[in-house]
Amino acid sequence: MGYGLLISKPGIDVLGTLAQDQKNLIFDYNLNHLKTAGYGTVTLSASAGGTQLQTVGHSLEYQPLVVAYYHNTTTNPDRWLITTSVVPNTGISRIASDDSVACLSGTASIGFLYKNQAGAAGTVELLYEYFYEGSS
Amino acid sequence: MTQTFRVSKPGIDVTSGTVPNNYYLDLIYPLLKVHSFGTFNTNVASFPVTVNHNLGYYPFVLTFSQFLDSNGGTPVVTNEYYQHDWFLRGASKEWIGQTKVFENKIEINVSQTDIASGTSIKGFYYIFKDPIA
Repeated sequence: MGYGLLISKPGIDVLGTLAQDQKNLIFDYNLNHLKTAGYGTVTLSASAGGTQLQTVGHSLEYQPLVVAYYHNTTTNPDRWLITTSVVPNTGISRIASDDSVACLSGTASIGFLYKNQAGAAGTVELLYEYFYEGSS
Repeated sequence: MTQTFRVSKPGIDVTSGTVPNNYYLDLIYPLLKVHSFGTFNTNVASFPVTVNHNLGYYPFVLTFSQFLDSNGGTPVVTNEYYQHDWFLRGASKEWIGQTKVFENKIEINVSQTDIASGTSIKGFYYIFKDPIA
């Protein structure tokens, strides 16, 4: 029998049958887990119909995995949306939001491209986290 | 006292506080566990890329790939990778970057109407043990 660290979810015997299903574990030494390389907040502002790109430098030298959420601080302060990429110039259908943010990942920086399709200037706040896991 | 397991961030007393973000590991909050990871470098004509995971349920998946950027001209493969999914439909052109999740596989597709079929697209994906729901 080998050695390793397994942590099961509350109520599940780590030595029992249920724990053999890895989705019932909190931590499994056999599997990789996402490890945070950096995180932060950016604020993006754009005029009506405009865009703003904000980049955040990193030193990983490969494209990291990124997860980010954003909200319009004025029109949708309670509605956080996950970033997607490259939205159409017209006809955004994401829950009637006029704001879209594309998430991109490069070898020296990550970036967030805000596209404001409302009839007035807009500002979004974005929370991001990027990981050591990525293209390499 | 209820038993638990926590690993706190440096400088944080592991025995006090309840703020989840103070801990690298907390029994109450499962970590995303990587089931499989891979990269692809595929000709446009060879999409979709199928990756079998055989989990028997719909897992959480994240995919990034290059984008075929154009603004009325010849599409250009971007250096940076973009988060999937995207789907743009113009009057006569489409841009697709899509990852479909099935119970035992995922399918990754990247295309653009005007792109040469031999164009190579790079990207990577992570499939997690953790189900979507």
